[in-house]
Amino acid sequence: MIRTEVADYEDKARSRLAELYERHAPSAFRFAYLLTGDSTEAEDLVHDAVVRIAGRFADLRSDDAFPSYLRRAIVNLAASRRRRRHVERDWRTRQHVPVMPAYDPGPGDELWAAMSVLPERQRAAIVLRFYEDLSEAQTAEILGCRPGTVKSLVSRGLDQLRKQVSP
Amino acid sequence: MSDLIDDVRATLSRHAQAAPLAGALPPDVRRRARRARGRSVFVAAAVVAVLVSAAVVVPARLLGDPTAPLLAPYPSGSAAYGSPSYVVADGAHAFVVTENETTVLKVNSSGEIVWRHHFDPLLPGGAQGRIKKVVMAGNLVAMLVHVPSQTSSSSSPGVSFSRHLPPYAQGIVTLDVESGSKRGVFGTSEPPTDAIFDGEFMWIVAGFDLLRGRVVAGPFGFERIQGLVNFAEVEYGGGGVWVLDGDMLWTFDSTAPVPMSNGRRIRAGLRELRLLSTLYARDDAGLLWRYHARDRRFVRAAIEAPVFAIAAYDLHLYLVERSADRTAFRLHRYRFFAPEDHSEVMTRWLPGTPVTIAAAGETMWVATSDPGDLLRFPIPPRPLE
Repeated sequence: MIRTEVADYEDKARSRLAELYERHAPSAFRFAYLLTGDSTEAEDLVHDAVVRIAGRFADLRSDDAFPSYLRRAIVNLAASRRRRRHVERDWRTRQHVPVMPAYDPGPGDELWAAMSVLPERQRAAIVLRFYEDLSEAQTAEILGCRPGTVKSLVSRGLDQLRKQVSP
Repeated sequence: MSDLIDDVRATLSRHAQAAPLAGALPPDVRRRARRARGRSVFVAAAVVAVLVSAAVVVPARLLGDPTAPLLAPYPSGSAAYGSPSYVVADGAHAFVVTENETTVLKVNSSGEIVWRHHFDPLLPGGAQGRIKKVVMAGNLVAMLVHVPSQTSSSSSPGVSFSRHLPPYAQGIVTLDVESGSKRGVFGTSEPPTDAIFDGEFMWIVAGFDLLRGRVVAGPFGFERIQGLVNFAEVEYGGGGVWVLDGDMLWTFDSTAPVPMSNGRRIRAGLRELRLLSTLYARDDAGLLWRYHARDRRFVRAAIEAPVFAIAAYDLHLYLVERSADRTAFRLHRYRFFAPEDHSEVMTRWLPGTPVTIAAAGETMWVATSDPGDLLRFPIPPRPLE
């Protein structure tokens, strides 16, 4: 039996998913890039997120919900990847396996460098609020938390950025 | 505060718009490439030493042209790259996949890296993937990824759990050859073992299924074309798709909307299938067989070398012969004027155990598992015809 990420769906649903992907993948890639700072990882995140959504495509209320659904999957996958990378790095260190050097973004502006070291949920909240221009309620829905938590994440993130970039 | 927010907005917007195209070479790779070029002198010396040792163990009469160009080694075995495991080519560039780090390198004929794509070895579903084969599929590099185990289990006092990994834990990852960007990831319920691209569809052997699907950007699905009885090989050419399935040879009309199969029984033991002017196959004993279209059967090709691997490229058939102690191999290049009329135009002993060979333009690439190098050397010019 063939099992693909879209295998159990009718052709119509498959083309609908492909169409949604075509439409939203570029913006999702930019969002993932802002979360990770790494284009390759951003691509992986977008593809994996679409694969994840394909398995639950029937749950999608409407096409309008797809972008936020996609972003939520990207945020969750980015978090799990980061956790797994820590585990892998620890294992490699214990096994004396050479570790691939971390991606070096090269010289850039201070603020971008400061964002790259923010805790991941703070960074996600800031990207969603100030790049995606989402409301606190919309951001909260994607991050799976309350609007008050979003306010707190953004506030703490901005505080940290100010400290990092202030002379 | 609002100034900071404005700065944040501007910074995010600027970086989002300037997000590097997927597959672009990040700065650290350029530095590594420069270091690699610096190391090449040392690596060249090492390879010369291996060549000399290989020449010692191989009888002199078997050595090829002594004036043949020396190998131009590609740096490998380093912490940065790991051992190259697979190489494929698109006619101008080679695509090298290092299994341990799941990194794909696009390399030009001078050995310079054009782009690098490092993808997560964990496929959707959380399974640890291992690349088992790499094929060219049109303008895509397709990596066939397996997972070593289908289940994971755990236990607590009195209770044990067994978790089946999702069916999409193994499958194919495809990259665009131009940009290095990922074009698609899809899963198969059985491990994929071979794939070809017929110009419109991708055909995949996955376990005992022959699958076919369109390669488009983003997610794509595959349909099951036929069940197979053996792990099979698939080739494309002459307007048809050929599938070697144990002692059966299936042909599919790739242009038909619904491909109809046409099967015939051939001899058992054939393994690798390659299409040139006709079909060639290698058997378990290392003999080369040629498909006789009129009699619809395979007949022995008049080539004596015990064949370890075969490749077809640009009207030539490349045969790999392995030395008895497996420390060296000989590459034969045959030009076939007609199925029965061939001439050997190149023969050369090289060190190591070849894993895959690929020709790109006038360059032949060989990925070896021992000593784990990617070897590069020019293909001799075609004889005057």
